[in-house]
Amino acid sequence: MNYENVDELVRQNEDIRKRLEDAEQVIQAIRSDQVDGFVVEQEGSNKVLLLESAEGPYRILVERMHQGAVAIDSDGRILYCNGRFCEMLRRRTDEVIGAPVHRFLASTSGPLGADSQGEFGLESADGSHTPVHITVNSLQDARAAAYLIVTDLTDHKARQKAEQAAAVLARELEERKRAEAALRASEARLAEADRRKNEFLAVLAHELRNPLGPIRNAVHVLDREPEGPLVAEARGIIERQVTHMARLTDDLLDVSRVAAGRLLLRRKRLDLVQLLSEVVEDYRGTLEAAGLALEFPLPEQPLWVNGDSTRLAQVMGNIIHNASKFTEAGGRVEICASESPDGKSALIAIRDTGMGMDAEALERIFDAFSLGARMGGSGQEGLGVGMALARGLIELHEGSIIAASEGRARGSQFTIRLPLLPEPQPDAITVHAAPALPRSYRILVIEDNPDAADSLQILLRLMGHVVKKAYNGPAGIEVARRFRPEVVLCDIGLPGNMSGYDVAHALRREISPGPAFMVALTGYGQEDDLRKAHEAGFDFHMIKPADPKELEQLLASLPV
Amino acid sequence: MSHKNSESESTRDAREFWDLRLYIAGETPKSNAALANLRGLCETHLSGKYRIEVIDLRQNPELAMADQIIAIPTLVRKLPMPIRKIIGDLSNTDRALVGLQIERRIH
Repeated sequence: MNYENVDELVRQNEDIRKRLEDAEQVIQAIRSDQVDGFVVEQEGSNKVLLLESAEGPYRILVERMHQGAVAIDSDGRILYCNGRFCEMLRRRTDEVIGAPVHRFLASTSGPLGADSQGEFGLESADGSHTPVHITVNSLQDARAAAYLIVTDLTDHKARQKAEQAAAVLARELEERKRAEAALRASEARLAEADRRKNEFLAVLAHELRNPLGPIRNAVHVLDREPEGPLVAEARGIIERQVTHMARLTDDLLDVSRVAAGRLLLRRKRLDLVQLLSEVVEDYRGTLEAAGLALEFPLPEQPLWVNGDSTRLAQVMGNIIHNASKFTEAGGRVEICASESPDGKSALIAIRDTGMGMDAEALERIFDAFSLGARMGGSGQEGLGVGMALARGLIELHEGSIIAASEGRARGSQFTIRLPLLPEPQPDAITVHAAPALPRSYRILVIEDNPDAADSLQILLRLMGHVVKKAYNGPAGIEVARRFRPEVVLCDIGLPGNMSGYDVAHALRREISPGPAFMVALTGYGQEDDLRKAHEAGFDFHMIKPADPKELEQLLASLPV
Repeated sequence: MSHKNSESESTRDAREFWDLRLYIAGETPKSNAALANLRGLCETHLSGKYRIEVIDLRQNPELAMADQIIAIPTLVRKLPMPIRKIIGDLSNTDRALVGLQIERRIH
């Protein structure tokens, strides 16, 4: 051996020492199970040989999971992850291994707790976020502190979104369908109302024209034979037809007043049983003439209500009138009054064995213009406003009215319910003063319409009173100073700058002793007018033209 | 095929900068473990002044020649000089630190 070059020898020695060191390290690493691959030379090229470890099958299983699987140490550093997790991150495994797991969670996500689970966002290499569900499971392992199972929720979210969108769409469609149906129904109702209105107008014209024929004939009779024996009959015809027309127009006016809220009730405490008896008596003749049997068991107890006797009588009369009109001879009309089981209401039931109504007619019977509801082509006359008026009046009394029928030709029943008043105090019941003879009063009429003032003066004089009149406010006050009236009837809408309210003020203030009783006369019957009249000092309020009968009753009832 | 991961290039001072090359063989358990351990170790002790280059010998076995790699995983310290080699998955932190001649950071 030639050792001429010592440096070369030292260099070789050093190289051998390093290789030996490497070999020792390799052996040590193999012994301590730290390597699992070797580079070997085969046929002039390098190849990698891998040691199959016992955990191989498990690794395959984990690698093929649909979920991401991640093992982390106590600092949250990724010790191992499967390919699926890297796919979710769109990163290579070697970029992921060793990195802290929180680096891959979207900043909006909360921290990962031990043994917790929840939804997080994974931040991919391209900055996009993937919604995932992560379950964290603690491990009792030397190195790994926990493993995570990561489930991609993208499809799930998309499906959820699609389902939500479908639900919203379905809801919108449903709403639209409903709206369309409502629109169609409302259109149909409008068309029906229009049809009924036209029908009503046709019948109204017919109804108003009908009485004119007999009246014209009667007038002819009176023209030809002003003194003959037919005069009484002709007068009777005219009287009946005019009454019929008046009733028709009154009903129409009342219905429109109720609808407009302009109808005022004159309510007082009254016994409904008493009132019903009177109405039934009025119709007894009509029912008998129509060949109908009447059953009216009178209840023993009075039924006290707060009502307008004229209006309630009108309603009950209307129903009884209908019962007689729509029931054939030989039928029966039953009327009964009772207290409701709870003791809070008075009930009046009017039942007939007549032609009855089908369901459709029942539904519309209380609508104005629902003529034909009970007509059924039988040729019975009627405008159909009677029932609308009845309902309006009963509702003004805080009551209700219902109609029932088991069908055509099976009779009808109307039930009126009104709130009961408590029983009167015993000492109040028996005060039935004997009707006093009509007293004569000094009465002042203040009214700007001369015809109205004059006729009222004549009427009051006929009743036995001393009457003076004035055509405006100042004149009225002047007359009052001298005349000292006990009763003043004063128009509200007076000419000049002194209204009826001003007159009342002045009379109350300036004249002593002033009039005992002041009555306001107005063309309106609004609640507001009532209140103003009361505030001005009026005791009573009458709508023009004052009904003579009502006026007579009022004067007869004065306490002075 | 080799992947260069420049996790920190802020300082390039030769005395202070650690250029490391890790040889692995795909995603074997030891390869994964070595990578995880190395990243943890570097973040703890060499934060901000190291670079790790990962070389997958399964993809490119010929690259084993350059550093005469026999076993996998093997870590090679290219910088600072001299070149040093640590064979194994770096699971023994003390041995890894001694092998790389890294001074333990005192907290």
